[in-house]
Amino acid sequence: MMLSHHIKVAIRGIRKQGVYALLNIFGLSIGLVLGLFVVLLVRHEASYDTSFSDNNRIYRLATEGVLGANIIKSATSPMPLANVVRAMDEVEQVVRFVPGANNVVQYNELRFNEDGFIFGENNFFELFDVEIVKGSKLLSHPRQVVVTESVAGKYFGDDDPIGKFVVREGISYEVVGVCKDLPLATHFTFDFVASLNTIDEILLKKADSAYVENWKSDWMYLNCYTYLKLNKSVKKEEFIEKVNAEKDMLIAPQVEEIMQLEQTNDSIELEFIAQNIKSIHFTSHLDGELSANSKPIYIELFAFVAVFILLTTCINFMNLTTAKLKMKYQEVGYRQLVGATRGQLIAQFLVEALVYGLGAMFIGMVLLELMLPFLNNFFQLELEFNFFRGWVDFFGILIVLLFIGLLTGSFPAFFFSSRKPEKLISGDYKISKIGFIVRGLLVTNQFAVAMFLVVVASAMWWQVNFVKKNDHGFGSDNIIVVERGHAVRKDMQAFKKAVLDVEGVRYVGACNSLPGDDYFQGTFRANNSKEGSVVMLPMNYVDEDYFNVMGLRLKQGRFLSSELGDSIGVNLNIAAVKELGLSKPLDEKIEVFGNDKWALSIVGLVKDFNFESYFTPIKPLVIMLLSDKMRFEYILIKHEGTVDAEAIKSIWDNYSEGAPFVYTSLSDRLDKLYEEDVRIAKIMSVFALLSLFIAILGVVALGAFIIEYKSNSIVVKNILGAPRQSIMRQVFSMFGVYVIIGVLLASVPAYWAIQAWGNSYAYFDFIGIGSFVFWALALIGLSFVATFVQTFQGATFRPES
Amino acid sequence: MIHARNLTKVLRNGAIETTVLQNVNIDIEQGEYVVILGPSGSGKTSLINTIGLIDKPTSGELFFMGHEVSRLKERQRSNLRRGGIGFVFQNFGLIDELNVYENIELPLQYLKYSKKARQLKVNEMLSKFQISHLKQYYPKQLSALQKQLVAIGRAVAISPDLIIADEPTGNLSSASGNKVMEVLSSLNEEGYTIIMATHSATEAERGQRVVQLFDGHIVTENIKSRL
Repeated sequence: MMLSHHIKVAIRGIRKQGVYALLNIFGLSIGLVLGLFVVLLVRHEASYDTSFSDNNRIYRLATEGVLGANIIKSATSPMPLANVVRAMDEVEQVVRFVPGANNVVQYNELRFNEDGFIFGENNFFELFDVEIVKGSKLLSHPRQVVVTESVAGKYFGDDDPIGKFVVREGISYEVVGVCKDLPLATHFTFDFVASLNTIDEILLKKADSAYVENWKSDWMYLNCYTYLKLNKSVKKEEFIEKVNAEKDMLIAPQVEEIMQLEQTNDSIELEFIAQNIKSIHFTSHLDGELSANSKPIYIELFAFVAVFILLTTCINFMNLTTAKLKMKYQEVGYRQLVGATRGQLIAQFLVEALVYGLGAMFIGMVLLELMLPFLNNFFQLELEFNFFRGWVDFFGILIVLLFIGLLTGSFPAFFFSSRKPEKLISGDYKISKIGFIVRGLLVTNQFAVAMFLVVVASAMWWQVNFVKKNDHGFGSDNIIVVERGHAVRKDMQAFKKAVLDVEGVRYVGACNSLPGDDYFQGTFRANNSKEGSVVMLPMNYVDEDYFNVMGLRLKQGRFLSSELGDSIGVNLNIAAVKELGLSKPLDEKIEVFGNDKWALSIVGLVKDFNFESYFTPIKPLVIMLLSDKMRFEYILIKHEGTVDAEAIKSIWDNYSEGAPFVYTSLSDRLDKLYEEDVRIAKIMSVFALLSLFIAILGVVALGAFIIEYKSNSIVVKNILGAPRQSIMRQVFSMFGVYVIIGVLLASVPAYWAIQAWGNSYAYFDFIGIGSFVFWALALIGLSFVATFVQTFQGATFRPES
Repeated sequence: MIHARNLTKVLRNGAIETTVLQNVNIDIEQGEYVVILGPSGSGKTSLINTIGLIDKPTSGELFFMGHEVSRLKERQRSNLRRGGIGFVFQNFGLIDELNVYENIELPLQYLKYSKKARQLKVNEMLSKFQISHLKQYYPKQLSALQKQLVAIGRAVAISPDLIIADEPTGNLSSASGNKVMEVLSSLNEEGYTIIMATHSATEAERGQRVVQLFDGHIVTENIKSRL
């Protein structure tokens, strides 16, 4: 092997070619950065929940079923289920937990809103074996809590947290252990795990003991998350079949009881499914997920795009390498005459490609590591640069490198080595028409990818913009949302009055749910129809000022008002009227399912507004007034111009009994709903830009090639005094058609992709064919500019030609 | 050593046929210094390429060291070429990325000489052609004469059976050309068989035998040295 010789020649070649070689390597490294970035992304997504031991035996029991007209698909399960599975031989361990609401946790003077407070069973940390760094992992008694390291640091600083007490909703919890923070890639998170049986105590403060008992034994109440670890060699399918069989026996009496009580024939069916913990993030997508699941389509899309971009960069590399033919041709010829065999020549080109590949890989890695914080920030990801973790990575990178080297090197290697030496040294070579067409098609390909990506990316931005700018049916501007508003509910009227005095504040209202929240589901039945079926409708509890704050529009009747005694009145939206099949809604009543004395009179109809997001069509909505004692989530403050948040905070502090003042604006909250799509649009834009860069590089390569290819005629034209334009026209006309074909070819798949993406929205605004035309012209124009610059820079005037 | 019988070479370009060599008969023996003389377009390069096993004739027979080679495939010809023939070109044919030392070393590497043997051989060539002081220089830094000396050193390094020089002075001044001619003569004195193509009658004088080519025919064969 003449390895050292080949490497030496390759490196000297790079030095000699200067900018041209750098462009080549840089192009390749851009492709690699993208490829590596997607590898990190996929790796992160695929690593979900792998940090728990025996994760392939850990399953979550989720619920599917039918309740009346409603289909239930929920990640949650009823409490008694755990008792059933715990008794089964197949099961090694069962853990239930219930996430707590966002609430204030207090330690001495420190108070924070905590939404990561969950209630877990005694053996929580045996199944979810996060490392315990201090104290115990057992939550054997009520009012015990294990906290994460970062929480321990936040509340206790350097003090030993064990044995300290934190207070939440008037109950103090003893810290018995400290665990490591959960890794980022888990489908649920927590900051505090309190003992599950504390819930009894919390409920007892609010309701009677019958309710507490019921909470724990009701099969119809999906209120907790149940996880279990199966014994080795137990088949999931057989196990879940057995669970469902046992459950049917237990559940039947309760179903019968309900049927009799409610006088209804609505079907009630519950079925449990077991989801492997690793698959949840990717494939679950049920209601009540603990965190947003991944959308596999994006991962597939990214992987596809990355592979494509990597391939096109490799193709560019081949084009750029073989473009500078004249010099290479003669060199190869002389080498052949000096005694090189075909194998030795092939080896030379492959090694050269590998050296380029290595350089590109190195630059790519460095670029990625440098850019990762920005990429993370820009895309709102939390990826770590975790290559070089072990031999697998090392060999993985090596294999990728070899693959890229072979891919990029093979074409020049075989292309040159098969030529006859006499042709090579005499300069009497011809590139076959086919060879030229193949190169042209490669450019077609690159432009197709670039076109696809820019059009899809711009359609995404278009939709994002549409979602933000379009009329939601309410005004989201200038609304401050204060979280955990019920902290001030004791003196709500006084608080409101005080806030209204702040300059700029127009209205102050309250409500329980905002877009992005899961709405309470109430079960209703229209009163008029005896056989009327039961429907579950989303509900929102609001106060009477809510309507003004949100700027809702009335269709008929009036908004709810406490002065007019609307405690048993409701407002419906138009969709709800249709759902309930009411012909004269204002004269009718709806009945709360299971309690026919609780008939609610419909006092007004509001026009439909997007109380959820643009992903779902506007559903029926029942709006009811908050009663005095009721908990609610948000205080809404409508203001004009700027408003002094400090002033509101000081009023809040007077009324809230120490609850922290946490606020956002409503428009920020809405933006958050589409965060994921904005992120995808951003990623697509970056991909589009890069692929555009690569496509332009492809044009440069092809242009260089054409100029070489046609150098004789170009020189002659030059000598004869042909204007530059005519030479440019000649060069452009030779590849322009390939660019145009590429742009046209991409349009159809781009249209499909946009439609497919738009399908996730209930309200989608197609960007229009105009943008296709615009981008097509832009790309063709860009490729022309690339030719222009290249021919202008004197490629046509090289004296040695 | 080389015996050509009725060599004919026809180039086809679409419908046009050009006969570049016609019924060429030539015999070259071991140790000879044969000059092929002719104006440009007379078929010198074609003849030399055919004899040098770079190209193959359209018809006729060619014996190289006892083998009939006119019908061999490129691969087989290349095997005979490797190590058997050293080439010197008008435009030197040096590899730009390699310095003087490495250029001379290149054929030895392709022929898989050991590192030690290569070192020995290259140094021998460097001192033989008095270019040791240039060994770290790259082709771009050399004068035309120096380049041609390096090229000759590279051709000789493998101790070939035959040295083929195609217009070796074509890119040189007359003084430099003379120097190259002297070097070739002295190589011939050492026993190397040399075939040189040129269009200069003066240079042709240097050879032992001149074969004059015109429009693909051999016009005269000066056999002064045989007498």
